[in-house]
Amino acid sequence: MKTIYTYILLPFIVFTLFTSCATTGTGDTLAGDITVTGLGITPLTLQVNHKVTVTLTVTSTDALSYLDVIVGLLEAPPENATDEELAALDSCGLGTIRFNNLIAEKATTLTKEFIVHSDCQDVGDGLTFNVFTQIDPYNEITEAQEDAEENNVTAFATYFLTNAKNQACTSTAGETGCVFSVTVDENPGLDLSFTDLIIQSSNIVLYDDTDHEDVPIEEDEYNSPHIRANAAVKMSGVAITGDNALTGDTEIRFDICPKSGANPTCSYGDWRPMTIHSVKDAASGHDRVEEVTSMTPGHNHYYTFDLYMEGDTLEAVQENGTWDDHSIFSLRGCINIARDAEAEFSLDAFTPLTEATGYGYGEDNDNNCQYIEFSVIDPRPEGNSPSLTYDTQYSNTWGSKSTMAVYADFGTDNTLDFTGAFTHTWADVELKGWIGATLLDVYAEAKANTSIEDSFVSFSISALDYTLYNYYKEVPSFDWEKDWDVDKSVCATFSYGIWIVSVDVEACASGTLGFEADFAIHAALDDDGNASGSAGPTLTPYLDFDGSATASVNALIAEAGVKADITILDARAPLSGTFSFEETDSTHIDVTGDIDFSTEITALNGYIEVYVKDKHVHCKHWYEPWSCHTYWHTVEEKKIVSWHGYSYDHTLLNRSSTETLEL
Amino acid sequence: MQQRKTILFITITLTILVLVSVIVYKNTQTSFPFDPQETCSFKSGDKLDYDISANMDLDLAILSQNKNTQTLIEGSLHLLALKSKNQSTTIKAQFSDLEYIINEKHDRLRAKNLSQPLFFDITNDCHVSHFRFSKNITKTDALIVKNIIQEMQLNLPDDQKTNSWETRQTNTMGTYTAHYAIEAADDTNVTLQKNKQKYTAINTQMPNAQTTSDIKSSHFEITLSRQTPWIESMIGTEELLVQNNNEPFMKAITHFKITLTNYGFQDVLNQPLSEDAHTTLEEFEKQPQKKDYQAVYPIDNIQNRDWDSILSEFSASMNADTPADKRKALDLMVQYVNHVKGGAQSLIQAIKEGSLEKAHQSRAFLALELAGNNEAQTALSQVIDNEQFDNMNRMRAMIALQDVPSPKPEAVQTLFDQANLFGSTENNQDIASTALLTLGTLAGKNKNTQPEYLSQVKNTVLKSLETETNPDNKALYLTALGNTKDPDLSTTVSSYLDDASDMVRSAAAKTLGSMPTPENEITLNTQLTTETSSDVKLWTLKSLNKYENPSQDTLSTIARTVHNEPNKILRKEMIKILGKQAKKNQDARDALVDLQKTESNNQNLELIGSYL
Repeated sequence: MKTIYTYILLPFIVFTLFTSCATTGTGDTLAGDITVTGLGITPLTLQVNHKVTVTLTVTSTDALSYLDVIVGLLEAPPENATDEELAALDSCGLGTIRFNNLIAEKATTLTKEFIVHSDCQDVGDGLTFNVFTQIDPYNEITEAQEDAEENNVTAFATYFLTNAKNQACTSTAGETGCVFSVTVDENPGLDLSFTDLIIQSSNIVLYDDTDHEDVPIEEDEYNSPHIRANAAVKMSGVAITGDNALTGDTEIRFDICPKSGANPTCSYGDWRPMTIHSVKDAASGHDRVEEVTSMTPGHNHYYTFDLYMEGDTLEAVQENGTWDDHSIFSLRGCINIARDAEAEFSLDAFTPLTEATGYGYGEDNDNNCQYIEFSVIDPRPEGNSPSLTYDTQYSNTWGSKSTMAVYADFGTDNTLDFTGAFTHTWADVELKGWIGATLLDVYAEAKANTSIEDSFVSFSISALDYTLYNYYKEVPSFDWEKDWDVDKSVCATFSYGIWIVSVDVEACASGTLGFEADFAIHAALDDDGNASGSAGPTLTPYLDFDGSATASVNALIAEAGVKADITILDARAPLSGTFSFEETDSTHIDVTGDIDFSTEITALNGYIEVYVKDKHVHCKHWYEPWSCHTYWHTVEEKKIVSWHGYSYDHTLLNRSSTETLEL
Repeated sequence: MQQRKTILFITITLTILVLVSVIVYKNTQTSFPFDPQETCSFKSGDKLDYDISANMDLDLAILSQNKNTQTLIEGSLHLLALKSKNQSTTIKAQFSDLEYIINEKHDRLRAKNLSQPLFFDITNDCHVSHFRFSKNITKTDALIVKNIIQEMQLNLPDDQKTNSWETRQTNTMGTYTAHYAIEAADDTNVTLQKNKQKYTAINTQMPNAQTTSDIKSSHFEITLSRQTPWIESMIGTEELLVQNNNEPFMKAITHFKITLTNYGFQDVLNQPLSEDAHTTLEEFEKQPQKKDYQAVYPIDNIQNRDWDSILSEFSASMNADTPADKRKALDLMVQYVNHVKGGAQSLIQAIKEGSLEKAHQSRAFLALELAGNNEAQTALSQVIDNEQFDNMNRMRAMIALQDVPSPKPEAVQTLFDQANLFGSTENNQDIASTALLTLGTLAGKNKNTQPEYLSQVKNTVLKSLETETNPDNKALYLTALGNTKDPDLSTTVSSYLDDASDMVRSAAAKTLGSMPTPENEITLNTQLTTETSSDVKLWTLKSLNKYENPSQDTLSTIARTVHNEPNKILRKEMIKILGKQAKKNQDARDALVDLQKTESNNQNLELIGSYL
């Protein structure tokens, strides 16, 4: 932008400004008889890299299909300035407003937002500006006028008021002349907003005590009531440092409070914090805030959190707690800045949360927060049945369906009862969004029956909706061992608008999927006709997929590229167990179960960045076309999406028990 | 003196040239004739679910060119405009100037006109017009033309006009941007390349829209809610008229979004979609639009290198273990196999000899699949056939072969050779069963281009299935048929739902799920009500879960039985089926709300919460 305004447009404007004023001085406009009759600018104190709103009214003597008007800032001239002083005035452009279908002699008003470019700060350090408008010299109007390059420049300053150039203009405040005193301040810093909050279930389930027995005490916290939330946080503006990266002064936090008919909104101080298990380091335990360490302004950045009710918050919702009688709650996700980092931010655009006494923060006065309702549910107790079960499941979705999301579901369900030992394990991984595909579908089951007949092992692994490997065996006793893996790839294209072209981005997910299995099934009858048997599954389904992308643009005038570095999912879900039974008589059976099941997951971490290059023609001598050559110049580079990454490495079920079941 | 003469000569020559150019330019301005309006051929009773809509198509061609200065281009514009029948007011529509943009001084876009605005009235429910125009542009401009932009605008009746920005946004009914580039290959050969056309149509719904947000939101939703046949008729460009029913519709939306982005309508994109629109988008997103893998490793860096350096770079990139490095490794090998004679053979030799690390061998087979050329297919066949390769690599070769484009008959025959060994010896079980499964996949994927494979696979597998008595083998044959996804097999597969073996019935239920026809849904629903085995019921439910829009009968059956189902895994599958419909089917939602009160399993409760 600086190049355009500084080296071409700016001198041109300044030149035409003074030549036109000098030669006309009538107060009439030039080409097309277009008059600026109204002008407004908000705010009058501008900040670099932040928005300014300009309202412009024009009236044309003739009907025009369109009219482009350049709007910019011009250094306020001193009283009685000399021509030399006037010629040296600084100016900077804001942008162009296009009027479509101008009707003759009818005032037309448009309002448009611009971003104040750093040029304005560079050229006008400490200066006071006024506004100028210029009819774009490249408007069609008439070819004769175009050739003449007559330009309609109006400067709204006291000096020019004497030349009547802007006397026809009335400001939005009703003052004739539309003279403003505009100052440009430094970039105040980042503006943050919490743009989206999605929870994967509207229910938080209060676990009963028996569930806690399944997990060693040091792991118990992971069985706290939890909710999984996807958050999109988007920033605008540019950091003062200019590198567009945050360095830990920003945090994301989640709080809840009960809602009821009489208390539809939570009051100041009602909020209690949720703890966060999220990224990178599960071993570090749970925090109440997530530090934002890196973020690029202007694009969506996706996080996935596991939020847990713990401590005072959990006590409040449990039986006899202060929130015991509530079932509907509000979850609030907020992005906030540390108090000592406020100077880095635009406080006009971003209001930090008010710190409250007691629990966390209070009122949200800005767009810092997103709210969503959920229910706290106490599950009904399971009915008594003569069985022993070992089951657990981990499922989660990372990312956003509008771009790229990964869904993974790993689980195992094992039962010992009077029919025998049944083991069932699954792994399901799907990609959604730009690339839609089932990357992995592993299904394994085995049963050792007390009736001996119909004992079996069944295993299948599918990818991209096709079964790749299948194993069936209907036998009472069998051992089966297998290590298996293949690499696969799936690609899809989507279009992205950047600069003035549409870029076709081809995103691919490539990687390895496989399993390690060792299944043992045994079932037999002793001499007394009592059955004994076991199902011993050892199974680790795994998947390691990365994302990559290429880009192309269907125009000779530009070429496009893409930078992508994405870990889509690197996951393993190892299961080892033994489930055995022994009938003692027709109404009693001794059962023993031993299981260890865990997940090791790293999900959706990385980014996609698209850039477009413009083809330029450079000629040494314009009349010698053979001496021309073309070259490419990057005109726009934009990170279109990024994901914060997630890791979870945890034992979900570790249990060993023996019981006698009675029919 | 000589220098002065030269300067004078150049100056005079230039002046004459400029004058001649101007005269020629003026004289070649052509007005474009109007073609008569046509009557649209809509079926009577077709409902228009929008108020006003329009489509434009632009064709452009170079007719002739003057060697030095002028290039005559001619184009035609086609307009299809629609308005709802209850719109009584005559609508005036306008094509704004057709303009092209040149890049001036490398830093500024400059627009020049090709035509004057066109005005016309839309008085009928449907209006079709064609316009032609021609124009000379200068050679200099032709060299650096960037875009030709056509905007169509709608003039509302006077009583609805205001001067507000919002109204003007609304008035812009459609924006069409065609990207053209004119490039000089040499002085005498100017080519015009017509690139991808952009299409969008923005509807207007002025009477009910009061705010900017309303207007923008309604535009977006109405556009999305159009039915596919209408989109096809309106789009009219070749690239969008593809066989896939959903694709034209979704492409239109994609381009709509892009145009909105380019024209500053970003706010619209942040508007929430209507429920229907969201569902449509979700359904579309679920369909993998698989594209050929594009390897981007520079060929120049490959062709003159020896195999050892290629292998070394491949291994180093794989070991670096970052997404970018692994992509680079794959690209390198794909390009090598594609562009270096003997590349595929070098690769499988390295696998056989072990010079390619075991951990990277799987990626090598993916490279052969993505290269997919004759040489790669031959190499894959050799691996499948050769017992010197371990079983895993032979299976990898088969799984790669199933996905190559246009598999060769010789390569397919190697799969048949192995599949025919299924059941004969225990040692070949993995190889033979994988051959059967991959044959099913290969036949199904190529059924349109190479239908002979499908009939060959069906004949072979059905014949074996008919005589097979072992339930394990029966189940595998059924699974192989499932990979074909051929609904013609439904009747045969359904008959195995009565098999005595739970495993065979489960396989039959699973196979029917890969052929999701309405008839198979009825079959599966019936099976659900009569089946006693939990295993078979589970696969029946999983297959029913493949239906994006299950019938009311299916939903009623599940809603009726879910409360009494003692098996929590079966309840989970039932919750999934009901949950996907919970937002549009009250019965499904009610069943979930009721189940929430009685469900004892934590994970099922969380799942219910994800749908309510």
